[in-house]
Amino acid sequence: MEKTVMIVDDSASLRQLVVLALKDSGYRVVEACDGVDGLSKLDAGRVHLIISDVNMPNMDGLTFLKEVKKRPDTRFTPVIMLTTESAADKKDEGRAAGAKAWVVKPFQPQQMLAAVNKLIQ
Amino acid sequence: MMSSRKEGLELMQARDTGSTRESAGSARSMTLAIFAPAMLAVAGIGGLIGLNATSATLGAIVLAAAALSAWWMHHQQAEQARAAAAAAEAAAPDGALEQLVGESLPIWSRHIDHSNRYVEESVSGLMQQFSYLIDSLNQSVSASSETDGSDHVIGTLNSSQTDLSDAVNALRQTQQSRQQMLEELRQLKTFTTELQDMATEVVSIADHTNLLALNAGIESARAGEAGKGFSVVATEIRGLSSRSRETATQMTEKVTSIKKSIESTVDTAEQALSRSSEQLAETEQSIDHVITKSREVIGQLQQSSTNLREDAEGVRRVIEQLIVELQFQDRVSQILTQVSHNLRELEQEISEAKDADGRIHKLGFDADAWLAKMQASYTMLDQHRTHKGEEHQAEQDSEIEFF
Repeated sequence: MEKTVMIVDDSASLRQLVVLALKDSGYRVVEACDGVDGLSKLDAGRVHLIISDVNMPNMDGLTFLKEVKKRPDTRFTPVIMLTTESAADKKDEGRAAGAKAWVVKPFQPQQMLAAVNKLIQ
Repeated sequence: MMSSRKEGLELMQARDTGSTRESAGSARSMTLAIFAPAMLAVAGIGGLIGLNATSATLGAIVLAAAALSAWWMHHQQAEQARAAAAAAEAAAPDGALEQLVGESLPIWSRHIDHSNRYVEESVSGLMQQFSYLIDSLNQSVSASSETDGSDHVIGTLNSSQTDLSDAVNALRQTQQSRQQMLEELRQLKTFTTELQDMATEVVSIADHTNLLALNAGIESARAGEAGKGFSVVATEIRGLSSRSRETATQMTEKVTSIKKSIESTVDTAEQALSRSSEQLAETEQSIDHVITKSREVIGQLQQSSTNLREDAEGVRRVIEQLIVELQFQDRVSQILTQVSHNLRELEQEISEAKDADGRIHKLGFDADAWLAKMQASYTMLDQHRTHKGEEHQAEQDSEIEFF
């Protein structure tokens, strides 16, 4: 069965890079440009894993993560935080909020694919 | 920043001096106001306490001189302040700096936002083109692998080589059959020679028999009447020997003819066998040559195909790396967004610090605290290093940290 991954990032090029990293491995990738857009698209269909930026307009990634973990249908969906954020307190906040992994940009697509494979199983 | 802060301080000082200038006129009036009543007061008091007119006049003059001196000093200070204010006015007309800063900041902010959007759109476009290139390369490599067909061609070639070898073997068996036939013909030739010898022997026997019959006829004639019957037998034997000789002679002729035919057939068969052996060898050689050449060509085609696939893979890897490198845009975007945000905040602060006259007499915030707040808003190590004016270090690809 085809698995669906959501990438939430305000940078279109970053979203494209994630799509490029995952699409050849059979993943369907849903794109969202911020936390609000991400929550809206979570209503549209099941997502097996979420990759989210931290610093975004409208709704930042950590708020989005907390909202995802509040929802009964997505509370167990693994979330990878993909960010330029280097502050340890933000990382700790992400960990406490239920993120499964923390990736500091720039990232290698193979690494991201390996992480998605690991967490989605 | 230090420079602008210093300029700001100078401006504030200049304004302070300006306000001193503005108050110089009132100070002069105040001095005159003090001076005139003082003279009157001294004269009045002198009258009241009964001093003489000279003493009172002298006191009034001393007081007036003191007041005049005070006024002069004040006047001098006011003149200096006026000169300084005039210089400040020349350097910065009323509200010019506020106007410059107030209007420049949002312009810079808009420029940064526009550049940011432009870079993001361009990088996004590049990313799409690169993605398209990668897809095309993947399809080309995949199609090349599927339609390369070199394995199929090699299979067909091997099969053809087997078929041709079978055909050559069949020809070789035919050759062997011909060779056997030739051997039998040669054997026949030997038999005809023996037949010739036998016919010659028959002729010899017939001659000998004829001679015996002739002698028998002579002896029978000498025997007279008694040998008459024997003479008939001798005559018959002579006839038979004569016929045997004729038959043997005919046999010899026939055998000779047959032998010639066989010899001719053997010669022809030998020539044919020799020619076909040569042709068979040439055919085998040609087949080997064609197969070898075909293998070489297919090998070259395979190599070319492999090279093309490897090149395509190489180009794809380079493009993938380029796409990874394009992540710089996200970092640049965050830095520029932050700078733009800070500029807007600064513009807001400055706007709020303006008085009703449109000029800034006192900043409503602490610059150090504001800078600290700006620094606290950074998300990347790069920004902190830039803020401190430190050298940048090459970014390493991050390891994924699992929780």
